[in-house]
Formats: sequence, structure tokens, C-alpha cells
Amino acid sequence: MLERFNLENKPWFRKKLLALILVVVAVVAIMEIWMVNRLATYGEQLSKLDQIQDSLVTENELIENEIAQKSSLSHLGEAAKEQGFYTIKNIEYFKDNSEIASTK
Amino acid sequence: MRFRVVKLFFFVSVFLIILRLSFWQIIYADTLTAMAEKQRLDSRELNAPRGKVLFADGSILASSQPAYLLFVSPKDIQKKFIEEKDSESQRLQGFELMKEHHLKIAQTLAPIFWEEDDKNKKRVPAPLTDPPQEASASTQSALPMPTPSPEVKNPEDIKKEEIAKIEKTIMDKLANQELYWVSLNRRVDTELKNKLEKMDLTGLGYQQEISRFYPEGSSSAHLLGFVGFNDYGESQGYFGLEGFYNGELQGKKGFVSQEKDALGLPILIGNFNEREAKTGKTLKLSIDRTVQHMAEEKLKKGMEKYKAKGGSVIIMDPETGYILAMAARPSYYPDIAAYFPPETYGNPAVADAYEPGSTFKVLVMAAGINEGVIQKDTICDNCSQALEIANYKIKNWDDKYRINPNMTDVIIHSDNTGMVYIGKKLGIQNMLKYLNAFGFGKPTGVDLQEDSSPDMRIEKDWKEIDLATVSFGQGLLVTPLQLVRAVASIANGGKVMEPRIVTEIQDGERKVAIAPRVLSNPISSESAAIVKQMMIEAVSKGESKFVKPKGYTIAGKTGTAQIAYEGSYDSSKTIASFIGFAPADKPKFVMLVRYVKPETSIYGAETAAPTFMDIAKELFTYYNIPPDRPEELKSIR
Repeated sequence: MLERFNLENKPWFRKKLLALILVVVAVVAIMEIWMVNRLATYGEQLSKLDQIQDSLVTENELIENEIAQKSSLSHLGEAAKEQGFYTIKNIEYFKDNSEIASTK
Repeated sequence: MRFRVVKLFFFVSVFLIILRLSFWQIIYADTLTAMAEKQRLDSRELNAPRGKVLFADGSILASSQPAYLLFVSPKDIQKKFIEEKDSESQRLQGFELMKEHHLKIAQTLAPIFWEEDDKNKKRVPAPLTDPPQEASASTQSALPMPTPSPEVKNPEDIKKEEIAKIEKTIMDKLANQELYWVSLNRRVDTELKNKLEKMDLTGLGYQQEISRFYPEGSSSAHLLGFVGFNDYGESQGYFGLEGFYNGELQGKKGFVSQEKDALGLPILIGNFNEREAKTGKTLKLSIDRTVQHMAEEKLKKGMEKYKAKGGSVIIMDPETGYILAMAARPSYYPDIAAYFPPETYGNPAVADAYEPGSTFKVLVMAAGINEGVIQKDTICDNCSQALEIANYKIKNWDDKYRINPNMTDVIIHSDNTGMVYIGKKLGIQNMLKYLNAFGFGKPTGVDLQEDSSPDMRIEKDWKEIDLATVSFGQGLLVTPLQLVRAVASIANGGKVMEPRIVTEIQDGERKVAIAPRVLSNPISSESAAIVKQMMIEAVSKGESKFVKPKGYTIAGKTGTAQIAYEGSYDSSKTIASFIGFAPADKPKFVMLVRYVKPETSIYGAETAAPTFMDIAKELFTYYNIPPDRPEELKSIR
């Protein structure tokens, strides 16, 4: 048969339990103070990260728009003119059976 | 007795304390909670970027870009220079420093605002340089910009005067030192914001907002519409696609609330609530940017060449009803819409009501043939002279009268008398039946905010003269898009399609395609084929034969409609137009070119037709359409 655990019969255990609880409470309290202190400084870092994220998103949008502008038809048209391209005026058509190149 | 007094004093004190606590805890609780939350919580709205508008090839027509609302806080300036000082003498000195600071802000910002305003004014074309009128949708600066004085002055003096006026406006805004927030300018770009931030001017603040970006400049302005601010200062789309799809494009604002410490920095383990902003939906259009660019360029050149007051080009795929291009002038820049007169905002291609003139004849002809009252070789035995109906004399446009022309001749020579003959054969009831079936008298259903339709007379109001004039396209108002949609039914074998501009709505990964829709079948494919042949002959033998591109079969019809003014027609002011489709056997496009009050010639054959053919030639090359009449070409091997 199992014997019932009686604290009154074991005073040494009572003291040890009390000590253990005190140690755990102390450790938790110290850890909380340490955590709070440590995390308090993260606010600044978090804020900086937020700012960096915002500026990267903004930069990305601006670059996307710049690419769109550089590839717009009005921009390409001007660039093509500068490069010496011009609109075709006279188009020459070839029949299906016509020779485009031949050897002699 | 003394004990009673103490007891009473004690109870009264407790009662007063309870009363006071009740005041704080019950009556004033909400205010205190709000104050506490304001102190420890950083709550702000997150702007939702407006959805993109894409051309058919996926390139950007309109997108969002970050911008800022520049504001100033006179109260913060006062705090820094006066309230935070300890002694009276320091505060007096601070007052002077605050005035200097106000002046510094005004002197820094005024030239920048002036330059921005001047740059925008220079983008407005010369005939439209009138000062911007008050529009219901204010789209620009929160500051009233000065307008140039009518006296001739040195430009430098004008500049100085205008800058001084802006300086004064800023100083006035700074004068009310109890205000925490006064708006100075909207849509400040990132570059300017960064520049101002580097100057570190106390009191200036920036509130992020979204502005529209248009990589193609003024291209498709009438199609797009613009984004302004509504009465609550929120972005809202006006006109065109921006107006029609405002709900889809605007997205949903987000919200973030985060606990902050005494320094205003976020607390990592504090409360954090976030509802992400939802970006607006993306619209993919049927508009082909190359065709759009081409149409805009040709219209611009045409208007300059023919000295027209306005003009529009609509190019539609007749099989689907999708709009490939829609250009109209005078146009505007959607990013600075407030600098243009409000009358330029509406899209003339869908909102202008005009008498279509001879371009309408093909539809009446189609109705006559479909109804069986005429055939293509029916002879008009009443066309050899001008007609008199109800005391009105009806003449042909060239005052020439052919004896016994057939119906094809009537279209080729654009005879009004021949059309009156068809009109009489049709009768009022049938005419109305076909007008309704072709979609006149009701909006086209195109996805543009200003889509509208002029009213049509009800049956009992029709008289014999109305039937006669409507048969040749006068006395009836239509919009350009209504006409294009109706003529497209001749091109596609008799179907009236719903015109569409948006082909797909994209919401993240989810894509909803918008399918073409047939609205009615007013004529049979056989009737359509007969009228198509007549239109081909009208191009190859009619007034526009000299400008037709060789090698291709084009079906079309010119139109020259006099403009009604104060109850009569002014023969010198016309709307010159040309409507047609090509290649005639399997049409790739149906197009309407329309000039308002051209001066070099009043006729459609000499103004709109050359522009039509010019655009058609380029479209043949763009779509790789080979010539179907190679025998007409010299340069073929």
C-alpha cells in the first residue's frame, strides 16, 4: 500500500520547498527586469527598421514608376528619333512565291 | 456634539470624494481613457495605394506613387520659442525669434511653391491658359495660387509679386498660433520632402498620401479621368475609368495602433493592433498603347492641319466591342487637371451629342434592306430634284441630282433625296424600331463615368419632316460611341456589341475576365453584307477615293453635318467625320474620325477621311495585315 505523503512528518521538505519557491520567484523577477530592460531598447531598433522598410517600399515604387516612364511610348519615340530611326513611308510587299534572294 | 460634527465632516468628505471619483470614473471616463490612449498609443491610418490601370500589353497607364501633405504646426513653433522658456525676458526674446522663424518658413517655401505652379502652368497648351476655374474636385495645392495680372509687366517683377503673395498666405496661416495643424500644400513629392527635411524647419510636418503617376503623360486622359479630393479631403476618381471604377480602384484604408514609450518609440511587448491597408484592384484595359499613341498623334496633327476646334478618334474591335483606342482633343494632363478648364474633363467620344450627318445613312440603308422595303438595286424614282416636305426644301449636299439612281449610287454619292426615299418607305414606326435596336436613345453601357445618351423623340412627336431629316443624319443627336457601336454591327454581321474598355479586373492573384456581350441583332448577316459592299464602293468610288490606301479594301462613309445654332444651321460650321472598317472582308477594326468645326475645309471627305486612311495604313502594318488587292500596288514583287 502506498503511504500518504505527510508534510508534517518531513519538516526538512517544507523548508526546501519554500526555498525553491523563493529562488524561482527571484529568478523570474530578475529575468523580467532583464527582459524589460533589454526589450525597452528594441523600440528604437524597431522604429528604425520601420523607417527603413518604409523608405525601401517608397524607393521601390519610385523605381517602378521610373522604369514605366523610361519605357513609355513618348519617351521611346524621342529616344528612337535621337538614335536616327524614322517612320517607314513606303512599304514594299512581297508575294508568297516571289524571290527575295537568289544565287546566280 | 463635537463627535457629531466630526462624524458629519467625515461623511461629507467621503461623499464629496465619491462624487469626485464618480465624475472621473463615470462621467469623464471616456475622455480620460482617450487622453491616456493618445498618450501611450500611436494610432494612425494606413493609406491604401490606388489600383493600377494597365494597357492591354500590361504596361502601366496609371499607377500610384508616394506623396506627402505638407503641413505646419504653429502651436509647436510657439511651444518651442515661447512656452518652453523659463523667464519673461526669454519669452519676449522667443517671440521675436518665432516671428523670424515664421518668415524663414514663408521665404523658403514661397519660391518652391511658385516654381511648381509655374512649371504646371507652362504644361498647359497656349489656347487653354485661362486661369483655372473652381472645379468641384480640387486636385492641387491647398494654397490659392495667384493669377497673372493683365498688365504687361516684366516677368521678373511678376514673379516677385507672386512669390510675395504666396509668402503672405503662408504668414497668414502661421499667424493663428493655437492651431496644431494647417495644410500648406498637397501632393508634395518625395524629392521635395527630403529637401525640406534636410532644412530642419521646426513646425513643418509631412503626412503620407498617395498620388497618381502617369508614365505616358496626357495619353488617354479622357479615358482615364483623374483623381481629385472629395469634400472630406479623401482621394476620389472623377470622370472616365477613375470615376467609373472608383470603388474598385481606391482600395481600403488600414489602421495601426501601437503602444509607445515616453520617447515615442514603439514598445515591443506592448499592445499592437493592425488592419492592413488593402491595395485597390488593378484594371487591365483593351486599349492597345501603340494604337492609342498612333490615334492621338494623328488626331493632333489632323487638328493642326485642318484648324479644327476639337476632334476625336474611336477604334473598336467589331467582333468583341473592345475599344482599342479612344483619343479626344482638346485634352488635359490628369496630374494637373485643375489647371485646365473643367469643360475639357468630359470625354467627347462618349459624352458629345451631335448630328451624325451622312455617316448615319448606312444605318438607315441597313434598316431599309433588312426590313425588305428596298434592295441594293432599287431605283429611286424621286431623286432627280430637290424635295419639298412640310415647307422645307431638302437638297443634296452638292446640289446635284442624278436621274433614277440605285441604292448603291445613293450611298456612293451620299444623296439626301435618296435617303428620304428610304425613310418614307420605312415609315416612322420602323425607323424608331431600328434606331432602338441599333442602341440609340440609351447609353452605350461602356465603362466610363460620363457615358450618356441624348434623348430621342417619342413616336407621337415625330413628323414627316423628322423622318426625312433623320434618314440622312440630321435632326437626331447621337454620341460618337453610339455611332461606332451601331456601324460595327454592319462589320460583324449584324450584332450590336456592348463597348468595353476594361477586359480584366485583378485583385491580387484573383483575376476576373470581362467577356464580350451581344446586346441585340438589329440586322441579318445578309443585310450587313449588302451594306458593307455599298460602303466599300462608297470608299473606292466616292469622295474619299483619292485618299484610300492602295491594295486594301476599306468600307466607309463620310459625313459632314452642319451645326445647329439658335434654331438654324450654320453652313460654315460643321462636324466633319468618317466612319469605316477594314479589312472589309474580315474587319479587324471599326473606326470613327471626327473633327469639330474644321476651317481649312468643312467636308469630311477632305479632313476626317485622310486622317482615317492615315491611321488605317499604320494599323495594317501594325497588325501585319497583307494587302487584299495586290493588283493596286506598284511596289510589289
